[in-house]
Amino acid sequence: MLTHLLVLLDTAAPSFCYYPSGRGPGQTMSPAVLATAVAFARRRSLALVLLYGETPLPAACRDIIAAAGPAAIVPAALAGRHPDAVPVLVAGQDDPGAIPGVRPQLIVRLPRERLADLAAVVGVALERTTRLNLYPLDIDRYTDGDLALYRRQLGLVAGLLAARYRQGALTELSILSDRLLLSRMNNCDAGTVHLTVAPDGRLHLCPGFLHAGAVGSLTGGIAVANARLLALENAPVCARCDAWHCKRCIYLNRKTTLEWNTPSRQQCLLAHHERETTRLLRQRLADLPAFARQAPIPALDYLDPFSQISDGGLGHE
Amino acid sequence: MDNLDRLARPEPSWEEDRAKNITFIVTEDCQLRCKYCYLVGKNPGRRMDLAVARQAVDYILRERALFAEPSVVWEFIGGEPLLEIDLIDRISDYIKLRLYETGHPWFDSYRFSLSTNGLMYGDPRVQRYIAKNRTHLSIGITIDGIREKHDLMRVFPDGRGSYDAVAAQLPLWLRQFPGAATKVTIAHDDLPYIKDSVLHLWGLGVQTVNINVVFENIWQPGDDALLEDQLLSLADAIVDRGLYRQYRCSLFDDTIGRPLDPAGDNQNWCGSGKMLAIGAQGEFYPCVRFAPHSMSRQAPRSVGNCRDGLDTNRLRPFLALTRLAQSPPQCVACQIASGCAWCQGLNYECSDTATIYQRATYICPMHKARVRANRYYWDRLRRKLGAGTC
Repeated sequence: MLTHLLVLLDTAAPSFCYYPSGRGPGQTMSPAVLATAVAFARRRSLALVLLYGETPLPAACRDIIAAAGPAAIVPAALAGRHPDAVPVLVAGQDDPGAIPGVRPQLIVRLPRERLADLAAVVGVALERTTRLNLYPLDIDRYTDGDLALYRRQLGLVAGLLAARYRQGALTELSILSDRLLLSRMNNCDAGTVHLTVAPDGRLHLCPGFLHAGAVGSLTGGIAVANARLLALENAPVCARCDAWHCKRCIYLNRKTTLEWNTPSRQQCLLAHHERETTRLLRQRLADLPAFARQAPIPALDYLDPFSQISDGGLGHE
Repeated sequence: MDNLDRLARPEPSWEEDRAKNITFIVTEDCQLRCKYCYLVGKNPGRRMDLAVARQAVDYILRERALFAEPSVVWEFIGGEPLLEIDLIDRISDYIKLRLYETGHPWFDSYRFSLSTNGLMYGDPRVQRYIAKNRTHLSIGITIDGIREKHDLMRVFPDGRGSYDAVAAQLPLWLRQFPGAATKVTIAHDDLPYIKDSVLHLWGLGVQTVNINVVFENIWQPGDDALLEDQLLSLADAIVDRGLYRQYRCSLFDDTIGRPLDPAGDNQNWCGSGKMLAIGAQGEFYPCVRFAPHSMSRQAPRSVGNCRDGLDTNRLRPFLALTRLAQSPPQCVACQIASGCAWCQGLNYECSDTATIYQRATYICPMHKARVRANRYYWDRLRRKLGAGTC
């Protein structure tokens, strides 16, 4: 069920997950379109999430936003001006130390070339938030060497988390702790749970599909062709998978496999390295009552769930 | 008594389920302009270069983990492949040489396969190729049935029918490949000729006639009844004359028309992705239906090339495909679903979002008609053979 409408105020707004950020100067949303988006969301009981760029908005837009009171995701540079918003940082470009205070949520995007810094980046970022959403970027270009490095870095991150948990901290890290708390798939669900409205008023599955055709408009309504392919039951690989924390990113799926419902090998391996590291983390903390209550995560003898369904064979694993 | 089990099931093909099918698209040109042909972009310009073919062969033989099947069928397709018989001959020689030099397991288990319009079958170069590869070669000639049907569909660019030119090649072909089968395609206009065409082909000595109705959106109201009438008449002729003892027609298959179990019968029908087609420039495709000359509405869908290798991520959707994931609710609930076919390439071509996971169902009424006719046929045959009814 659709519950959220993401409002892309600026086509150059920084990405908050896997898709690439738009390049500036971007097109910003007019007050008229923004007002229509707010009304559209209100009629459908959708929560608004605003995606800010760095271009200042007209006063009329600011007035509409103040009246609607939506959630917001902002570039790191605007974090000071939006104390209630979720800041997005890019590791190696933005300094988490510059984020004022401790935020309920922080998003960090980790470029492939910073992969060896993963644990260090997480360590610094966790000083600024109680929940860190981390997105490794360019994973479609990950080599087997990168995947091995990711696994090693995850082990280091698990050590950081374990130390924090033993001190009683309630820190969440999307790529590790989420799997501990879930009992079923909890994916991004773009196109199903949320849609994105662009500055021109057209609707998209998510900001990653901004240049890949619309799925309706604020005035014409929602029209998602083949919406069934967004559902878990029609994703043969994911339907048999228990890496429940995986974002199951349809943007990445489409980019790498040309289908919304089929993940790349890299996405599956990353999710399963995370799942396995979480499994070991839970074992390590089993003496803590809070962790002993969590259902154990079963060990698997594979990393890519695709290997469990295909008799075609692709020579991996 | 005739063995009904034998009659009721299709003949298995060579090394079925054990052989990798690798198709060289040696040319996108053809002498004919068959009206039902899905190759909408025929052109004389794109033909495969021997260097490209060699690079593809080298890659495939090197990547044994990706091509791990115990056997291989090297297929040559077009357009009309025999337009490039010299190239086919050189590619075949190169394959044999490299299989031997590399000690590849396929050296002991390979075949070459060609499907041709037959126009060049008697060409001395073709005959030399046949003689050279006879023990590892299958060739199919496409003849559509009686002259009226064949010449209605299988025409030269100036509109002339090709029946006489093809039929003249049949005696030689059948002497060289006595068990060979032909493939007949049915569209709207030639529905009235099905029965006569099958009987005609059997009369010419083609013992196995494989027929399919096209998957495209061309069917009109009443076509299903026409198909059923034709099949009922054909059924009567087969049973009354005892033709089932010697001949086969793929339209009659006792395994079709049953409900499919959602869990146990969830496999994909089509083999695209498990086979590999190689385009003229060395691009890899899941089958020829995804190559540029097959596409009119969507972009060609490559899965790599012979220089950079297979893009295994792009293959994953094909190998993960299930019946349920691509079928609309009415197909999932269908009580006569078995044997209802689809073409992944056409599904992709007709899809709303450039996906292979959206099943085109234009064939539905024709499948239902075929199922009704099959029930009639098998019931008659069982009663005649005293096997009782199921």
